[in-house]
Amino acid sequence: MTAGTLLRAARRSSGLGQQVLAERAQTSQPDVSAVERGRRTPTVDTLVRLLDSAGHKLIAVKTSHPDAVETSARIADALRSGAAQAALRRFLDYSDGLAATSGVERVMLTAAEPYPSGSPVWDAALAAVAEYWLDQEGLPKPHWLNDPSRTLPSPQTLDVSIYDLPPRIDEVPPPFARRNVLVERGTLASI
Amino acid sequence: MQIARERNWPESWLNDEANQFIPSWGRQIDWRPLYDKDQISIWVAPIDALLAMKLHAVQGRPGRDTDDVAKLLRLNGIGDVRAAEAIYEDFYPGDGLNERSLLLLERMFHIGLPELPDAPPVIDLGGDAVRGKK
Repeated sequence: MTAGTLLRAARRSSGLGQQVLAERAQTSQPDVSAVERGRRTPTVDTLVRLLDSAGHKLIAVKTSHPDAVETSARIADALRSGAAQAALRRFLDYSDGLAATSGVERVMLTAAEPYPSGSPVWDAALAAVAEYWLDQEGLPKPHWLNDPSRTLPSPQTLDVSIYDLPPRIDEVPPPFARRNVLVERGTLASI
Repeated sequence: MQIARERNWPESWLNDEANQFIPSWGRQIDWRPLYDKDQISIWVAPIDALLAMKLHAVQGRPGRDTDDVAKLLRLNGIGDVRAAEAIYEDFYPGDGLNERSLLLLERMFHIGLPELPDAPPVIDLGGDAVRGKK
């Protein structure tokens, strides 16, 4: 997780442009852009100020698993390299982490709204898997899960391997089916 | 635990959860040692056993290991479903591949297996196993 990833996700979640955030944080738009692109690493105090200006707080959570923000960034990196398999591994790492946690830790891994990955199907899958594991324990769900941008207009698979069989519709869990992402329940079994 | 802390991995990173994929009753796996020194021992399964274990894993977990299965079929020189079943049943006698797995294999052979992957470089981890000493 980088400062830029964190800031960009928080800014977008608050519906702010870089210029507006810069004015609120009393800095410049190029500065905000430099942080978000990873060209400048802010001090913690600066990051806190920037996040505060975006209506967010920086907290520390005891966990070793990636959250949705980090996972979406990792998926985006993989897709930019044309590595759909790597994107799937990142997605499954996230799912496995949710499965391995419970209660507050599981909620925290889904709480912060991720920046879009650049792929509507992966964005929908991320929301679906978060909802799937939160529902397993009856845990509260963050608003970003229901963002319309995270539901596809028609059913699609993750399209990772040319060899994959078409998913069995009756094996697609409701959070995925509602978002038109065809992922079978068995794929989410960590072991 | 020390490695987990240093690398920010879950404390459970080193576990035996994959044991369920290791065959219990069939052909014994000819594990190859990569490193064996002090209290650390690293072994790797040969490609026929890896294929059998991957086929065992995909049975209940669609979409996770598909490309790995295709590569291992190529590496093992397996050309049809029957030969793949034979390797599987060698290591897991009496189990048999389920219908979904058979359909997957048929699809793989129909589409065509991938090219042989490049062999990874030989890694010398030191230790007695690689140097042939014991």
